[in-house]
Amino acid sequence: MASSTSGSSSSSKVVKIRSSDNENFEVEEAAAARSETIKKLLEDVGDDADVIPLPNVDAKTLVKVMEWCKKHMDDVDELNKEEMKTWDAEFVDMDQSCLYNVLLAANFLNIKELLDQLTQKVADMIKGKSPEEIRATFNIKNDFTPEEEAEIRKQNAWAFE
Amino acid sequence: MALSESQKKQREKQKKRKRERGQKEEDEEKEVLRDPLEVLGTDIMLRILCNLDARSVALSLLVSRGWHSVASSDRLWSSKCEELWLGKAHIPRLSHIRGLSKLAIYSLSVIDGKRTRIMKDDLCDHVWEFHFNKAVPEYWLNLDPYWRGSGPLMRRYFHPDGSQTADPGDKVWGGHESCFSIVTSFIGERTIREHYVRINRWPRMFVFRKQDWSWGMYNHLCCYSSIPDADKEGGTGPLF
Repeated sequence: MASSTSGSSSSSKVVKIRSSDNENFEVEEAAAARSETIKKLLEDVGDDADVIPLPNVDAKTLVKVMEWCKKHMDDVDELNKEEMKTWDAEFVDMDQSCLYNVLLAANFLNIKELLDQLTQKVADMIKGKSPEEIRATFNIKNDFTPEEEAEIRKQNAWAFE
Repeated sequence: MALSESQKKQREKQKKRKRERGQKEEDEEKEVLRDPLEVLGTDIMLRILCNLDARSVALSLLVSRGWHSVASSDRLWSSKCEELWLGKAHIPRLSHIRGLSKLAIYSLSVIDGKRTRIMKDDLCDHVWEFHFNKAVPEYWLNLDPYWRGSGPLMRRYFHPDGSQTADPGDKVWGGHESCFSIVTSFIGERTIREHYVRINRWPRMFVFRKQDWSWGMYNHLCCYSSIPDADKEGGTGPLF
């Protein structure tokens, strides 16, 4: 089977990016361009680009993000859709701090599909949980007074039934 | 960022020789749980909540004051309202009250959608389709487009003055005067004992609400259904 990284002919071109902690990475342009932010920067600097600095993303996070970008470089055909779903599900299954870092990076790098997957992942951690359970999941302190809490419950009684 | 640079480096060192899986497990054990709102900020938090069903968002209102301010935003709830109203037969008038938050409008819409006590406004705001039930003499069935299987169904109109009318060409409408009243009796403060609509002196019509918020009324002789009018400007039904 042909390597999935050589799907489109122009993808063999490589760009250099640098993390906030000054690590350099060489990434195929087609993968890096999944980030609208990098794509825009590449367009602006043209072929003269040396290294693209990404001051908001550390190396560990950047590795994760680029792993996703490589996997999502080419359009997925129907056959691979299921496989891709499984891969994506495994990809977003990371610990909370890593998840937050990749999420912030996806936001900064403007990778919409990745951002959608990650926000969905956090949403799944909230979905169907009681306020107490959500607080426990994220270590949040309840700062409502009992009166305020009662008022919110009353106003939205349909949700608490 | 979740960790300072020095903390991070220290952590990296500790795990240097661990296999990836082992490292992940250790991470989960030691993990410091943090508030996504604090770490990710309002915009991303809003995106996260957008992925949730309305009930889950409403439950998250109670997490903290910070969460409440994001989870009650109009931007979030206006799309939830659109989802809620999609495919509904009637949109309650109270959802058009000015100055209310979209969350309040959503809540009021849900409450109104569950209301089974019919009011005069409901009868008068909607146009009603009417047909006989099989129990009536065949003479009447033969005049009813519902049973003949041809032509549009007969319609009935309720008016604020308590009268009821039909379309001009209506075959079963005898030109008689017709009036209606709503009867509701209670046990104690809130429990409804009896609730029905009486048209003329004919048998009482029992009232029910459908999934799509439309109304139905029936007795053994005939059925009424409110015709969907969700596009009616300003909404329909009582304002209370």
